[in-house]
Amino acid sequence: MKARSPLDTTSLRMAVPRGALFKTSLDLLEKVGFNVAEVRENDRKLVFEVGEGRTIITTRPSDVPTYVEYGAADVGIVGKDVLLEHKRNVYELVDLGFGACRIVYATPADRDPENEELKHLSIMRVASKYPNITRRYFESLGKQVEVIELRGSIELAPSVDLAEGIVDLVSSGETLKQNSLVERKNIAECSARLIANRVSHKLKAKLIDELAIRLKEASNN
Amino acid sequence: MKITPIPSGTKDILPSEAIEQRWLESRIRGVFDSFGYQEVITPTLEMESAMDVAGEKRFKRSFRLFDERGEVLIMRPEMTTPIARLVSTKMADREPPFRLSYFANSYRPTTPQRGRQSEFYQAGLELIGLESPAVDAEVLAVLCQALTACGLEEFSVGLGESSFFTALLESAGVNGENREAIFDALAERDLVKLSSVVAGLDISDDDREAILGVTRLRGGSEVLIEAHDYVRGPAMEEALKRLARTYYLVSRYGFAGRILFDLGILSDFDYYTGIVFEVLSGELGFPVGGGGRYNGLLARYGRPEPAVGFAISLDRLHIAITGQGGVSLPDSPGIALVGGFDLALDLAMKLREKGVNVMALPEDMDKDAAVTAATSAGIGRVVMPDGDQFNLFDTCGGKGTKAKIEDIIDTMAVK
Repeated sequence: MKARSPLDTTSLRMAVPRGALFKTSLDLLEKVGFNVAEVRENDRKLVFEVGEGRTIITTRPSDVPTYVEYGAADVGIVGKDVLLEHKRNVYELVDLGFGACRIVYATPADRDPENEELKHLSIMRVASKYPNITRRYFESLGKQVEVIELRGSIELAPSVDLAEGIVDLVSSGETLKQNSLVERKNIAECSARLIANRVSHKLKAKLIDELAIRLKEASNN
Repeated sequence: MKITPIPSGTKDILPSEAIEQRWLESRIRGVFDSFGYQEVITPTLEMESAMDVAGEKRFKRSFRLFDERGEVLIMRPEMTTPIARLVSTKMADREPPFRLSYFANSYRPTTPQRGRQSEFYQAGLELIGLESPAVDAEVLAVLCQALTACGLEEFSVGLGESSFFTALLESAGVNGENREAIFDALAERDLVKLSSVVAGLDISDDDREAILGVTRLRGGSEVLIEAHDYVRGPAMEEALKRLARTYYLVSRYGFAGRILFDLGILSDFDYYTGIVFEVLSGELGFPVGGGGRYNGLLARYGRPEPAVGFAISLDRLHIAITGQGGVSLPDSPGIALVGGFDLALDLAMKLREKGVNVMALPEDMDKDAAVTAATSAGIGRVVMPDGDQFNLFDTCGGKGTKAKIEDIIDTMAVK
C-alpha cells in the first residue's frame, strides 16, 4: 500500500466490513458514486483503489474501529454493536440506518431471571460475545454476574446449562424463539454507522462532511 | 536469559531513542527560554485531596497509593493542576504574571497503544495572570515555534473557543441535564447521539440547526465568517472577535498557515474556558499535544488568576517527526579511544578537557571490534595507538590516517 502524504487532504481511505453489512455498505457507496464493482467481485483482495483518490480497504467487522482510530483509515462503516463493545476514540458521524438490530438480554422461556430459584444463585452466569456491553449493563443495574465470553451460537449456552442467560444481537427474534429463549430486556438499538478518525475529521473536513451528507441522504431513500 | 517484565503502559528508552528525545527537549527548552518561561519541578506524587480541588472528572482514573499515615496519594495525571497548586501556595507572595514551563512524566492508566502510554513525558508551559488575545497568540506562537524548532514540518493547530459553544447553549436556553447530555455526546465524539439529543430539545429549529452546525464548523479562516451566521448575542460576538484578533496576532509571528479553526473542538479536560487547541499531524491518528485557556482553575486553589497553557507529548512528537524523515541530530564530537584506560590515558584526559567526548576501550581491542563498539555507542570515530603516533578511523570505513597526539587534539577540539 502506498504511504500517504500526511497532509494530503484530497485522498480518502475507507474501511468497509466484510460481514453482514458488506453488501449493503457497497450498495450505499455505489449510490453516492463509488466504483465498487471490483470490491464486489474480488473476495481475496483487501485493498482497492477505486478512483478519485479513494481507497477502500476491507476488514473484519470488529477491526474497522481499530483501523480508523489509528488513522490507517480516515473513515469506516461499522455496526453500532461493535462501537459499543470496543469504545474507540473515533467520531461517530452518521446513522446509516441499515443493518438494524438490537442487543437484548434473553433467558429460557421457562426460567424467569427474577424467580426464586435464580435469586438464590449467588452469581448468575450470562453468555455473550459482547463481554463489555454485558458487564456494563449489569453493573448499571447493580447486579453481579459472571460473564462467559463465547464466539458464536450464544443461544446454545442456556440449553446446556453453561449460563442462565445470554446477551446477544437479534434482528427478527426468530433464533431466540427456536431456542426457547425469551427477550427480557432491550439493551441497545444498533445499526450501521459512518465513523471517522479524530485527526482526519479536522484535516479532511470538507471531504468527510460531503461524504457524510451524501451517505445520509442516500441511506434515507 | 531471564525475561523480567516492566509494568503495562511503561517503556524503557534505549540510548539511540533517548538521545533524540533529549535533543527534542533541548530544542523546545530553547524556544520556551527565549520567551522568558522558567522551569518548575513538582513532585510525582500529589495528595489526592489536593488534586480533588480541581474538580476534574478524568482524574478519577489515576494511579493511587497510600503514604505512611494512610493518606491517599495520586500519581500526577497531568502538570497543569500541580502548577495551579504551586502558584497558589509556594508563590502566593509573588506578583503575576508567571511564565512557567515543565518537562515531566505524568501518569494515567490506559490500555497501551503506540503513542499512548500509562507513563508519558510532556513538555509544556503555563502563562498565569494575563488575559487577552495577544497573550493567547503568544502561547500559540511558542507552540508553533517549538514544534518547528524540533523539525516537525507538517502539522496544524486546530483552534477553537469553548465559550462560543457554551454561550450558544445558554442563549438557546439549554441547561441542566440537557446541557450535560450534549457535552457527554460530544465527549464521546458521537454526533449521532448529539443529533438525537438535540432533536429531543424543546428549542427553536434555528437553535437546533445552530448547535449541530457549530460542532461541524472547522477549516481555514473562512470559518470565522461562516460562524457569524450562528452568532446569538454579545458573548458569542465577543468570542469570535477574540478568536479573529488572536489569529491576526499569530499571523504576525508567521504562523497563520498553521491555524485550522475548529469551533466544535472539545478538550479532554473540563477546566478550559476560552481558546482550546490541539496539534494535528497526519502522521498520527491522535493529537501530538494541546492546551487552552483555563480561567477558573486557579480560583479553586484560592488564587483567582486567568491562565493559559499547553503540553506537547514528546513521545508522539518523536513518532510524528520520525514519520517525516526523522530527527536530525547534530554530529557528535566524540571518539572511541583504544587504550584510553591506560596506554592513551593522557590523550583521553587532554581531549576531554577540550570538550571532546572520549569513550575508552581496552588496549588489546583490534580495529574491527573497536569500530563495532563505537558504532553501537553512536560514535563516528575511532583512535588507535600506533607506536608513538595514533591512527584515526571513520566508523563508516576507509583507510585510517596517521597523526601525532598534537594533531589529534587540534582536529578534535570543540571550537
